[in-house]
Amino acid sequence: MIEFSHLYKTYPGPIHALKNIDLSIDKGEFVFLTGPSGAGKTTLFKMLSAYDRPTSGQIQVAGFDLASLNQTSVAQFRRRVGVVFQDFKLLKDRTVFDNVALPLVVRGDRPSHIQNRVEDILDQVGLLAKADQLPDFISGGEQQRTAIARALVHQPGVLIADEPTGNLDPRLSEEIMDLLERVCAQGTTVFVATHDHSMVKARKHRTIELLHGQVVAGARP
Amino acid sequence: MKRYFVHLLTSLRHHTGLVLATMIVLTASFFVSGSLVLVGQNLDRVLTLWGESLQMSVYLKEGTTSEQVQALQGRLQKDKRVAKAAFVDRREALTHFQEQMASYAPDLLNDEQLLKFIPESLQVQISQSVSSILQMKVLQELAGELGQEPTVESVSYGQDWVKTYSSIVATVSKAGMWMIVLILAAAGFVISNSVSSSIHQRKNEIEVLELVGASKWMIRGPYLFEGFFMGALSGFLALLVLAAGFETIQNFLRGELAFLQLSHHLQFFGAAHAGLFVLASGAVGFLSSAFSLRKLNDGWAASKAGQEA
Ligand SMILES: Nc1ncnc2c1ncn2[C@@H]1O[C@H](COP(=O)(O)OP(=O)(O)OP(=O)(O)O)[C@@H](O)[C@H]1O
Ligand SMILES: [Mg+2]
Repeated sequence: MIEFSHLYKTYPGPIHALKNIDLSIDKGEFVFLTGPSGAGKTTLFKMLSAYDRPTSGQIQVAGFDLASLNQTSVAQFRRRVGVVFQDFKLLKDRTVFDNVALPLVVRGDRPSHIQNRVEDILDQVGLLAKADQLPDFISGGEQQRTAIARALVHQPGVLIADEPTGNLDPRLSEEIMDLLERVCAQGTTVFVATHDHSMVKARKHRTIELLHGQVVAGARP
Repeated sequence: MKRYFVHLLTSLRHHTGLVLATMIVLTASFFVSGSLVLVGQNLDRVLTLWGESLQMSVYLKEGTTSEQVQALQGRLQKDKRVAKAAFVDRREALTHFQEQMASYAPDLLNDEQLLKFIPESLQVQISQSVSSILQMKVLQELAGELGQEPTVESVSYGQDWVKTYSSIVATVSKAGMWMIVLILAAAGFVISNSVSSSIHQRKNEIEVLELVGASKWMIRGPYLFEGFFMGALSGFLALLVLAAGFETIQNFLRGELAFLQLSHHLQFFGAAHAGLFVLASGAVGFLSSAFSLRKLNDGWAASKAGQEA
């Protein structure tokens, strides 16, 4: 499902954010990504979600070769994945509802279907009451849950979540992790970056560890 | 469609100053371009009109001797304002007259008796060294003077300088065209700059739309519509200002310059041309928007976010 080989990402500087990454993740797996701040977790997710292009190497995801996407195929690929960005990336001039609806709107779903589907997912993340609020007028945790809802609303084959519980209290964190596990149980491959070691320990999923841009544990299942 | 209007209103709310500034630049340049087209059109009309009247026939009294004719002709030839003064005798005038009237009264024209009634004349052309604006005045002046002559029966204007004038009009309109091209290019540059800064202010939105998999046209559509709408609206405003200006000039021509008899020869754009003008203005807005978008919306806007700012 997900396959990295000899992947490098170097930022201007040069900063070697990722060095020779070799990874494979099966369809339907639930995987944690851990590592200290600056280890390269977000960078790895950016490569994986076609947010940015690698400097060299290969990534295959769901049949797409991410190193050779053009403007049309990159949009098609992105419709197949759900991403919770570390900085949420919500549109400030649109309501929670409209933000969450975006992945359905861009693929041209019927309004009635969008309405049902968005309400359903907002209910699951506990945000139905905030549907008509603008992102600036809800809490950090609520923004984070909006981002999670947007990543899940179109039932993607792959869910990539960069610290999805970073701003949540322990009870909400547990609820969100339960939700992600349910999504995984329905066949979605889930890849979650986190600093929360107690959660990693408690949940007993495969864990990949990054350090200084290199995989130091969990490269193969 | 609703989405596009929502986008437009959002744009207006968030960047009121920028949108207004852009609209002013657009309106101004469309106004200048429109004026040039309008002036060109009417110059054509007016010069043609003048060209037709910038000659006169000086009809001579019955019984004027050939010495008197030659004296008058000689004086005219020496006059700086006159290019040429040609004598036309009865028979020549009749032939000309017959040619013109042949279809109206062929029988009458075959009558040799008619010859008696045709006056002899001098055909006077105004010198080309007199500027085209003054020619009309010179013509009147000269006609007045000649009217006083003892040998002159009457003076009338009319002959054809159309060829000379059409070449002038051609030159003027060519220059005007180039000016319009230049102005529109400059306007396009200004708009493209300002649209692109508007787009950069909404980079965030483009990034997020790209990241959730919006297609190229889904992202660009509203901006292109915005560009088109702003262009077309500016074109429309320019047209209104132009119409007001035109009306003012018309009033002036009807008032103080009434002697030129120009006002009823001038014309504003017809409906079709006005429509075309607004559409063309929209196209300028559309194209500059497209130009600015091409750079930003390439599918990887988000990854470049940190680098440019
Ligand atoms: N756009 C960028 N330009 C230059 N350097 C970058 C950029 N993004 C990340 N880096 C650098 O790459 C390295 C990896 O960063 P990354 O964001 O992937 O770390 P992370 O593991 O996600 O950290 P955190 O846990 O704090 O989120 C860091 O040294 C960072 O400074
Ligand atoms: Mg990170």
